[in-house]
Amino acid sequence: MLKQLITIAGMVVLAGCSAAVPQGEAAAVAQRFASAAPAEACGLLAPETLAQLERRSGEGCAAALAGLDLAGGGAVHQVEVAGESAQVKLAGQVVFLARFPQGWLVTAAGCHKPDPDPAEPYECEVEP
Amino acid sequence: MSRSPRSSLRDNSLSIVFGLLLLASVAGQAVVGLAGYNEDARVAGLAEIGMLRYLTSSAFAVDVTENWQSEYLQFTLFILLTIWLVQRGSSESKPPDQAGPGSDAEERVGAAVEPASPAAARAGGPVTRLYSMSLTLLMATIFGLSWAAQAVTGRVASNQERLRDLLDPLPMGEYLLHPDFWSRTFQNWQSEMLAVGSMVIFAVFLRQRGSPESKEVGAPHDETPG
Repeated sequence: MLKQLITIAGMVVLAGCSAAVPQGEAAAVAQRFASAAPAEACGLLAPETLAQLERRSGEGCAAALAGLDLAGGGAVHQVEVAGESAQVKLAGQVVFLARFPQGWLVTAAGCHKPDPDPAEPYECEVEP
Repeated sequence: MSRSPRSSLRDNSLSIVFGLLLLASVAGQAVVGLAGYNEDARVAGLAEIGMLRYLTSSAFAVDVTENWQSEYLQFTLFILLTIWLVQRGSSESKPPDQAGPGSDAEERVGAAVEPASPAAARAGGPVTRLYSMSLTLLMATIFGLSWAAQAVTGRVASNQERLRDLLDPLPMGEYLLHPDFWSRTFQNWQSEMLAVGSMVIFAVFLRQRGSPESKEVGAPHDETPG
């Protein structure tokens, strides 16, 4: 029985740690993306997001990003990490990220929420 | 009193076999759970993860703990309610005239304590009172911890999907009111209540020769084993 109690406590601690540690890394990637030149920012996009961006715009990633109304980065207001997903609220925009073998990559950027209803998703300039 | 390894194995065979079945079931859950997780990740264009990462993920933990909490709730309720509630004819119940916490003589404590009784039963006073409910207390504690773990890990797992869907994550207070938490909770509770309730009533009319969970094959339906 004691083993089961320790197991439960261990699962909670591990699950909690896996959410707390990478907040700084996700925030750093979001800030780098928001302040980088388009060519560099393209290297921080998740593969599916990059493919969708190029498909929708009909041009290369850098040109497509340059043509979008992406607000700058600014200070980090809030970071939420949940498992392999993250959301970083910057002064100028909200950025969503996912964890890949090479680190955090941006899945959606330039996001704003016109409707405060928690069931309504963000509208993003770049999204998968 | 030394026992040979073979007789020790036989004396503990029920616990050992269920321990092994638990490990095999958790291993099976981990393998297919990881496959399902990675299939979802592939569909969403996200990275697949390895077994170690999955075993420490909230997605795995919530699936485990939501089942654990309901099992321990079931046992906590069953142990407690069978003190006072009965089912005439069921091997899972006391006889109707024995409902209640029982006398010291029936429970072999106080003046009726025996030399071979556990030390906590012989101690008397608050120690024996605490020991008298230790089984329920432990079961209830594991239930509470498992349910809390389900809430903590369920929120992270749910928020991971919400962030994939470009939704704001839910704080704990909101997650505890969210359908995801209560759906996981109630779907497990209902199956436990069904299992216990049906076992109690099936045991009145049906038999399994040789099992202590059953009355003797020839026992009358209205006979409640004491």
